[in-house]
Amino acid sequence: MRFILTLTLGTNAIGALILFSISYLSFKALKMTKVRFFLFLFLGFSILGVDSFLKAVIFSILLATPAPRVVMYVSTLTLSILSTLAEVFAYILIALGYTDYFRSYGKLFLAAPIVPVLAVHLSGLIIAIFLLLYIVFQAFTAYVHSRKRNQLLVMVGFSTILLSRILRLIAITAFSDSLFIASNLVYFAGLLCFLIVVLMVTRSGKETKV
Amino acid sequence: MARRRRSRLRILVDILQSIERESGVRITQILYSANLPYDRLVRYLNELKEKGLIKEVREEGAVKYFLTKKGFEFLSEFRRIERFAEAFGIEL
Repeated sequence: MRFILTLTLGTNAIGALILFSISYLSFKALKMTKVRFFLFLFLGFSILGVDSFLKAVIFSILLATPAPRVVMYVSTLTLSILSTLAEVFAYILIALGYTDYFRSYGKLFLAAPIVPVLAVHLSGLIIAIFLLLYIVFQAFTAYVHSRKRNQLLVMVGFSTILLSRILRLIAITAFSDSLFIASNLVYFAGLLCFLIVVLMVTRSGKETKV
Repeated sequence: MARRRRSRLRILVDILQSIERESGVRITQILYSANLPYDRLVRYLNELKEKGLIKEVREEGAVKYFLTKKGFEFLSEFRRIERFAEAFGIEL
């Protein structure tokens, strides 16, 4: 249990930094371009960043305090549920951003329903998976259109996060600690893709002569 | 897929880039490079001057335009944002 908490603390702490970097860049893009998509991206990644940060804080408190095992289980379960709700909300915002953007370009075939009707009856995690499928599809379409490396990274990032959520769903239903650990690591790997995008975007040096 | 009209920001960036490409450029060169009608170009140039992104200098009887330091920084920042937007499939 302590190992899982420590791992979760580490991945969430670093994850929060990466997510806040994306939300910061989104805010700067919004300020400069006034494109509404970046507002949704900023809000979505901010929520994900706050979620990660709070998880890191709470897990560090749980690790520091000698709480009974049952308290730790109840705390982590409650946090997990709240975190899933926050994630779903964040993915709804990001998916809304894509829908809004592609609708304005007349790409109506891409403006598919954000929340499939079936997902209403399913748990937050499954809703997140459906939303991530939609987001991955949008990112894939963007990549296929232009075949740029940064687009590939965004697509791989969202795809990896989707895989992590599928693993998490299986881990919960199968009561598997190892799958839970794997889902955390895969989620973190997805965030690393976004970190590379941030690094690529913020690299210094002018592209044309001064 | 239908191409969207150039946004105001894109027009301003096109003007700045045409000035950046050749330091000390005349209005007619910007006209062809940025592909704008004369009266609109003049309005945009005035706006860029007011924002401190370009400066107007009289040289050898002709008016020439140069990017200011702020103008270079703005273009650099725009390119960063453009790379970020491109990663998500967004055209600016």
